[in-house]
Amino acid sequence: MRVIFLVFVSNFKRALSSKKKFVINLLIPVITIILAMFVNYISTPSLNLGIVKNVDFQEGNRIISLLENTKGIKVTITDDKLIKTETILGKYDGVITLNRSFKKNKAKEIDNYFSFYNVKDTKTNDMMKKLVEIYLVSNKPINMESAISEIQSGTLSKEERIMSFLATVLLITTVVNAAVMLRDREENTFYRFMYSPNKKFKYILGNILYNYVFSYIQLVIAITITNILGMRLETSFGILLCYGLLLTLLMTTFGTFIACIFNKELYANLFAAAISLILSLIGGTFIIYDKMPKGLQLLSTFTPNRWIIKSVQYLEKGTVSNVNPMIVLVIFSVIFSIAAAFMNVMKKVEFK
Amino acid sequence: MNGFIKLMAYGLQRRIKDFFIIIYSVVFPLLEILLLGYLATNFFKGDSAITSNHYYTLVLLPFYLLTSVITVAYVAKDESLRKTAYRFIIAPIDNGAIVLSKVLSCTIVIWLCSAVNLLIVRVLLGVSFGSSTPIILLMFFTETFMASAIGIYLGICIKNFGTIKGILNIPLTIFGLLGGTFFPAGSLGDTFEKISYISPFTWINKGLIAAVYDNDITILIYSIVVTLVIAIVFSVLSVISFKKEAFL
Repeated sequence: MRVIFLVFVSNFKRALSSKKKFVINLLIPVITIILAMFVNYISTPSLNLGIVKNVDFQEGNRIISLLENTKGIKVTITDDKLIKTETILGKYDGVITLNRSFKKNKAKEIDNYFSFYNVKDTKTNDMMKKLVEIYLVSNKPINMESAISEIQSGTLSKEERIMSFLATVLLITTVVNAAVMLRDREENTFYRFMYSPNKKFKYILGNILYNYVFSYIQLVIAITITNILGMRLETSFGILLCYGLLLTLLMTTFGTFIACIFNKELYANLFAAAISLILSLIGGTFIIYDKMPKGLQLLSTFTPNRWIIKSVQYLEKGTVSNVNPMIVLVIFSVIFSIAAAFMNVMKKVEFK
Repeated sequence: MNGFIKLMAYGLQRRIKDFFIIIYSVVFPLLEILLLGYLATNFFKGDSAITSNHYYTLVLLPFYLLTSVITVAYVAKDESLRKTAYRFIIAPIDNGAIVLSKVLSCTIVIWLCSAVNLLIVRVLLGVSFGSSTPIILLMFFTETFMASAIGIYLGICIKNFGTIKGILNIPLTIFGLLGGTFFPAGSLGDTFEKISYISPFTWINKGLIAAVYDNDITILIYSIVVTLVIAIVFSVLSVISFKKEAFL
């Protein structure tokens, strides 16, 4: 036990020898959380509608004014000729064009007077159509926020986004920390250790412990600063800290496994950066699971990132569909630990 | 003129066999179009005329054409790396012929790669731009001309290639993000839209999409003229600032 503790402490001392690097490493997750909050802010569900007035008439103006007062919708009146271009480039979620004038209660076939365009899906066109149909007979603006959230379904909650972003970054930092073992091999420090009457297992455990504690400190600092800055999260601080223990365990075991695959620190770090981005992409950090093609959805089920998002949903809502995501995360950790141990057994120490 | 033609023919042969140019101009863009096109399949379901493959073909090809600045910068130092610098110093060839042969050979080969990409996505993914294809190719040509001229200029002026790569990668990626290369960025608000005007990709992508889907070539014509002017300016600057000793 004493040897494990010594390895753990010596790793901390090594990390502290470059204080600037140490502080930057500790604060990387904070930047990640701020980025996640920003992404969440800009992806708040809302509908940007472009209105093209090919004809100017009283009834049309009434409908436009009602659309402008509809909650959850941002209306821009435009005479833009590049309607399709602007819609494709995302400026408008949908465009309503007023083609012919009509008088109140006279517009029977809505398609004769209006045209609707969007590139995302058919639902948005249906919603715009329904909205105009309502306003043809009503004078009261309605609240569309819930309908829009439903259409743009699948956007991640703050907690889901923060945890999935943190997982992406933590995987990279845990590999960087675990790669200390590879550096030790490269610089022959490991061989000195092996000449001592201590076992390899203690050295590895000491490193894993250091990696785990360091990653957990990173996570605690990130969540604490988020709280201090007043960025409100739905899940309580205590629960997030407890959940952090599991997330860090998963990332540490995964990071150690990756470090065990390679012989050189550089390769391990490069691989970690690539694999963490790929897993995040497939796992649903950047592209919403519901919007993924079916093949990718299937692939997504086998990534830890997908289960991290599911586990945060579990924390928020407390409901489980079939499998408890927390248990899946533990299983992933066990698998990575076994794989790391196996890789270590395979790597024989060649005494120089 | 004779020197220019010979160097040009030699340059074309070299560039066609250049592994880096083929990888960066054909393989990478195609892989990214396939990947992003697949990932974003469900984001383009409203209009059958525009699929994710159409979108990413139109925005990723210009992006990779401009990133070829980095590859071209290496071409500028070809003689230095191949240790043929002394032959060039002794040879009775003027600076203009050396520099312009490099700029034009890179332009032609990289542009051909983009045309090959268009052909491959047409055959493989069924992505066709109909009557807009000639003007798209013209835009690609002037953009490649601009990228080659800037690349050669940087290759001549900056000695450290690591610095070139490091410096260029960041603004190119930021410009890509602003111009909607990785995802349609128009939904990010008015402020973001105003900032995005500084990105050349904003104009090129908008021009290309407008030409194909709104039959409006105004923005594309402006983009072609501006890129052509920049290309000519940088070509002239390269000729002026080039010294044969730079190869040493």
